[in-house]
Amino acid sequence: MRGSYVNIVLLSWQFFVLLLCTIISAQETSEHGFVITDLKLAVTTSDSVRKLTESVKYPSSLDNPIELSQGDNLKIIFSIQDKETKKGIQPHQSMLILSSKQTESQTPIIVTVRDNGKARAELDMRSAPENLFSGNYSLNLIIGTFSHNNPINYYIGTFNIDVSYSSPVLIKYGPKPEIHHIFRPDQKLPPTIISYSFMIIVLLPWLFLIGTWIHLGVNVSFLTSEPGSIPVIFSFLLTLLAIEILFYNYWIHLNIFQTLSWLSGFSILAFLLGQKALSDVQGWRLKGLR
Amino acid sequence: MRRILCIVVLVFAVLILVESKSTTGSRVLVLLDNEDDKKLYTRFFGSLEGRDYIVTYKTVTNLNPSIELFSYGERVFDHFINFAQKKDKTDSITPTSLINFVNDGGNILLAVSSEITENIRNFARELDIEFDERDTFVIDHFNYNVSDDGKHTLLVSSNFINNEAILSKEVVEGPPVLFRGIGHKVGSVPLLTKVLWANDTAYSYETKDDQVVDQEPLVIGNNIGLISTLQARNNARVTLVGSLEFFSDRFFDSSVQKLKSSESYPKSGNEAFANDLTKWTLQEKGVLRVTSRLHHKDDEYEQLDTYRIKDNFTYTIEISEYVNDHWQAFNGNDVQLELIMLDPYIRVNLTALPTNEHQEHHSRKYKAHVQLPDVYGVFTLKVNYKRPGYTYIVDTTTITIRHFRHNEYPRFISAAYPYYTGAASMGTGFLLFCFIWIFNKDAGKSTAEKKKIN
Amino acid sequence: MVEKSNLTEKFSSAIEKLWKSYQKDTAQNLKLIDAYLVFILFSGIFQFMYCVLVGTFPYNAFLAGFTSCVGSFVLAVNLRIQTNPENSNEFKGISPERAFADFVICNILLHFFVVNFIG
Repeated sequence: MRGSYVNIVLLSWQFFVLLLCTIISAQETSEHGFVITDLKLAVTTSDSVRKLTESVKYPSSLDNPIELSQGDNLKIIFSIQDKETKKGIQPHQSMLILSSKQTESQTPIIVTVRDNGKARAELDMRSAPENLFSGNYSLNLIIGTFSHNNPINYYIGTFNIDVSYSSPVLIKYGPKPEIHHIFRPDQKLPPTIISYSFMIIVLLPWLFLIGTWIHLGVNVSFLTSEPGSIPVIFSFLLTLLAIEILFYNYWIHLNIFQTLSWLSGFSILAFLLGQKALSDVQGWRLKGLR
Repeated sequence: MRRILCIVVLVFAVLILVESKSTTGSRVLVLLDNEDDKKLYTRFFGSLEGRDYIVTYKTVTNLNPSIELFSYGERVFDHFINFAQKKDKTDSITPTSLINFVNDGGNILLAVSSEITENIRNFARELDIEFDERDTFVIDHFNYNVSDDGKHTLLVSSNFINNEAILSKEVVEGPPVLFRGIGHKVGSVPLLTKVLWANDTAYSYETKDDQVVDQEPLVIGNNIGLISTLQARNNARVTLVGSLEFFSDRFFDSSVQKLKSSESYPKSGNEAFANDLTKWTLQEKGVLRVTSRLHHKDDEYEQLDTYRIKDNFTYTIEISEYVNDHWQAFNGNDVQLELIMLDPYIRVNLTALPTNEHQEHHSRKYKAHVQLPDVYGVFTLKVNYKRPGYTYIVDTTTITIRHFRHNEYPRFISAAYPYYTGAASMGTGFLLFCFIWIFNKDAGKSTAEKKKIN
Repeated sequence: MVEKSNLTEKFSSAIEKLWKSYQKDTAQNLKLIDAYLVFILFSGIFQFMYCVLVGTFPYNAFLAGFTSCVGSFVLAVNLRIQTNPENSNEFKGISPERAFADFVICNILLHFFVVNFIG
């Protein structure tokens, strides 16, 4: 009963001070602060070899970043005292926070504080928190409690954490990278000079044909000897020429329906004329002229 | 006929006039613990009623009339605002009924305190949001208001999301807000958006005396969500606020001054924030719609169903945004078009065309020129616009891309000249041969031979 | 070695003999067709060489050009066989003029297909 009474008195006293502080001035509240002493850090590797020990004096920070790799064990000990009474206290919030410099994610390390203000914390990288990935982190010690209005956010130093796994890629709505279709390359054409040369080469057999025919004494004697059949035969040959010219036009611009209608006309003509012309030729042969 | 049309138009015009500002409906159900609680949030409900909502108030303690979100399978409210902290006795507000409500397109605003019920917690879990244990508070020894009661839970926060679809510029740049309540952990689902979160030094824990933090809190620092939203795939919106007092008249009118900070504000940002938040939740802002889409060849204006491979192609889409109670041109500039056949073949950014200032525009045109791929098949033109804060646009059009027709291939290629020559040579050779064959007289043939043949 | 040179000598003398008998015994109008055949053959060979050299790219054009040669060659060979007096027993009902008419019709058809195909 008496204890609770004291408690209430104490609490209300604290309230009073708090109120006073806030009313009088927001700046001058250093009476209810904390002091951190004997801060020591130690890193041991997975095979229990002590890699590093550092002691830091509050409020200065570590000069060099500390490397932490998979399997390492980080231990931190320190004591918290009331600034005024120099007695050890046990604050409500005493947390070591690793803040990623890349992703702004925060990972807490719980600090166990005893009544006398002795505190210890441990980060075992063998069972590291799941959101701790490779990268640069800053380690802050945050001390705060309800009775004190001067909390501490103390930057201890930088840690470079190196673990084999990396953070999963989160799906986030937003613009996606552009995709451009890669077209199949156009067919490569040979140099035109080759094409032109082969045009000429393909025409070369003509020289042979003309040459050989002259050599063989090819003649057009019937042209003069049988003038009676000339008009029919010539008309026949001209229809053949017309058909070939029609084919050329078909290649250049005509469509198949136009071509076929023209072709049917020409072919009837060619058939009739051809019959007459070739019977004339047969006549020459039967007369023994050929 | 004309007259009937006129009447129909008139009726619609009247209907639109009495419509609330929301794009999805005006029937709101507000659930409270008891009737008197209404007096705590007069400003908030006042603004709601001022925006032409038909608000129905019900309490969890009163069994009659019962609380039903659905009647005969039909949704009877468009929006649901829950301020109740106690379990409702009819047990009709269950996680399942809330999920059904959201699946049916209803919007939900849930304000909870540290006395959160299991039903609400389970519903939040369905959304990948984990509230901390009952009786925990978000505590921050660094950022509490001067009027705090010694628990350091009356937080001052200005960690607003900078997203104009949800919070207007005035709110983001305005005074900080007050928050006292429970924190939550936001999952990684892309449908979720944190709107307000705690400072780096905050943590979520019980506030009993003589107790220290010996277990790792559920969330700490800026991972603590104070207000988070979810926009479901059907564009229904759910907002979870970890503080009921956030909406109270007391917080609306309270002054804000952080401890040990010279900055003080005579009035907190809560009222403006709450207004924007409810406007967003009840689909009064951040709502997008596609008004038209058009595609054609670059040098034509007719929309076709079938295009040829490698055609030069233009796609235009018009998008409106609902802001300040009217549809206006959307201002986003990251709209993308995808051309998909199983996989996206092409994804391009659409260019936002400027709107004419002197003319009133209800939508903005977005345009892209692409060359269609050299693959034929049925393709989907997809504008898949999903951005936090805005309703999702998934607009698809199907087109067919066909092959070159036989007469569309390149002709008279230099590489084929020798072949053309060869064919021409054969034709000419044939004619000449015919001529020679007919008229040639075999001079060397002997008469004897001829006789033999004949 | 001696035998080999002997063999080549024999071979070349055989060729020479063949050539001579061809020169002597073949009618002029058949030689005319033979010259035409050789002309077609080389036109075809040159196009094929070109195709081997630069690749098959306008493949349809190559096929058209080359088949026009092959087709012409086959038709000319037919004509030669059917007009050869030595074969007149085999083609009793077919006069040289009739064979020529077939030749013309087939050539026209061939050219039509070639033009269709050449692109």
